[in-house]
Amino acid sequence: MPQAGCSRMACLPVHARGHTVMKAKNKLLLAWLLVVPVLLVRGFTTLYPVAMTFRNSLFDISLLRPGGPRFVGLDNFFRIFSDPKLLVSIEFTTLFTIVSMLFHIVFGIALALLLNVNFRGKRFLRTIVLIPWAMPMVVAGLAARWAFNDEYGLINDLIRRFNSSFHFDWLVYADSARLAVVAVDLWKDVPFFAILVLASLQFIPGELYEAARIDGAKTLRIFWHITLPMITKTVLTISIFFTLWRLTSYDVVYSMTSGGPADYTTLLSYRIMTEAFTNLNLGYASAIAVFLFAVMVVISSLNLFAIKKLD
Amino acid sequence: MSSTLNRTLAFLVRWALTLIVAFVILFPLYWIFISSITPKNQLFASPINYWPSAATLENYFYLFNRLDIMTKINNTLLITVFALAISTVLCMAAAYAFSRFNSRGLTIAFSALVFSALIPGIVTARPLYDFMRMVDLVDTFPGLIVLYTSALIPFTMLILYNFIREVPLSIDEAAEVDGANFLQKMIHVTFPLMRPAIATVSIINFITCLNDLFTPLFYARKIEVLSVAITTIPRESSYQLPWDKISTMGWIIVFPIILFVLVFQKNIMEGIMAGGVKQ
Repeated sequence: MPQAGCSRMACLPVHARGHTVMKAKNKLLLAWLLVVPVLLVRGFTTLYPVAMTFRNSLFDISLLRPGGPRFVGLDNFFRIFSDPKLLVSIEFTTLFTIVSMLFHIVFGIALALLLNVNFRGKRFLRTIVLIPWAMPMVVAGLAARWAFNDEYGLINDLIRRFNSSFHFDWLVYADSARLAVVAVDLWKDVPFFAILVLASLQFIPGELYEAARIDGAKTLRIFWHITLPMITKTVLTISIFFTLWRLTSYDVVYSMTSGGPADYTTLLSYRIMTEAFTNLNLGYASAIAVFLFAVMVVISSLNLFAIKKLD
Repeated sequence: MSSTLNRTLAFLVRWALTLIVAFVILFPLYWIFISSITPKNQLFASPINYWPSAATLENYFYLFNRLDIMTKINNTLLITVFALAISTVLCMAAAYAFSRFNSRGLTIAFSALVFSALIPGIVTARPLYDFMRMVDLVDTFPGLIVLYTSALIPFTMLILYNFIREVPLSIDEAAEVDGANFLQKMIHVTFPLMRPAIATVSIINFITCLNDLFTPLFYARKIEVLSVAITTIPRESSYQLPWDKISTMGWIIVFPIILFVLVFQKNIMEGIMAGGVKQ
């Protein structure tokens, strides 16, 4: 990152010190010219709409009702907590995020350890773990919709190879549908999590392990006392991003369950898009979005705080 | 004696875990493939026949002839190629400026750009849609290209900036002594050194573009890309998924991705690790 806080000497270009201030100013202007296009594109696609969402959250805007927007203050926010559909969404989004993250961390670290082992299957493993990451979630989600089908699905077919009388329609019942959504999310993203953990595993100096081995430490002890402490910070940092992505997941539910059965797998983002683009309650949708955004900020801050504490 | 035992055990554990991981990842993909070539009368049967006695390309013909998948492939590639090119050019210029100049404003701009990646699409979707409609960009190629480009900027920026910072200033200075001006230095000296970074970024961004469902789903209707096309395959009944067509479409999307991953495995790994995170 460019260094902040340069002195009152008008922030000279790094390698132009000694040239005239006038020339430096011209160069700085040129630097900004190079940066402006990117800023404009990002500004229009993020900054402006975010500001609008915050503004809209204070209005009652329904495209289905005649009359323009009506200022309602915080009413939209109060409505969130008395709307049964939304409470179900909040409940599932919370469960989905927590359960999925726990398994991401456990399986992710385990898979990363396997990827880090030097053996003949290494290249093969490192190649196949990229496939779930590289393919679109819709494909996985639609395939899962069929895979969890009672009669023709892959999952029950595999189970029936061991227990031939097994019959269960996963996506018809709330709990099993929720479980299935988490499973697909894990299938798609745990490999990616593992690759990021692998990056930090590779930074652990080999001498540390050798020293421990010479001292006679067992594999499990080495893991607890050397490996885990060395990767904790990375795991927490990655977890911030993965938590935020879980909170805003959309594709998995869109393609796999359409939010059903009833509304039991309606993640918050799916609810927001339904309100904004189907029910056309723009004000309410904005309020939910702002609420979700606030939750994201709080969770990231807590996580950052935990990481700071580690240092 | 016990050390050979240990080694055998380690060997077995490794390969057992490898087989489990491979099965969990690859078997569903194999199932998608096999479903796409299984004749209909065998496909909707239980138990699943993992080695169908007959194969058919009927589904592929249907998708290419009746649903015009070729147009959707072209749409996807067109948008992706433009987004890749534009985001790379814009980010190279900006990365150069960020790395060669210091000012508080630039520092703030850089952080804002990278952290804007954390703003989710659902928070921006509706106002952005209304804005795009106002300027007549909804459901147009330029509109989609702008949105795709924008989505690629934070990651591209981060990778190119980290790379360009490693290019020593002395090379710049040598060029300056030779009388090169700012733009000449940038274009003829620094950029050619960035090829490896550009390759990595493009490979990851290509995958990101293919994976994007949200943008084409909400900002386009008539222009269909592959990720949306698989969701719009017509259903014969509202109860049953047209799994024959969907598995075929799925395989049309996944097969090139598998090849891509096989070819670029190393670059992708490096890119993911260098960026820390995608998006």
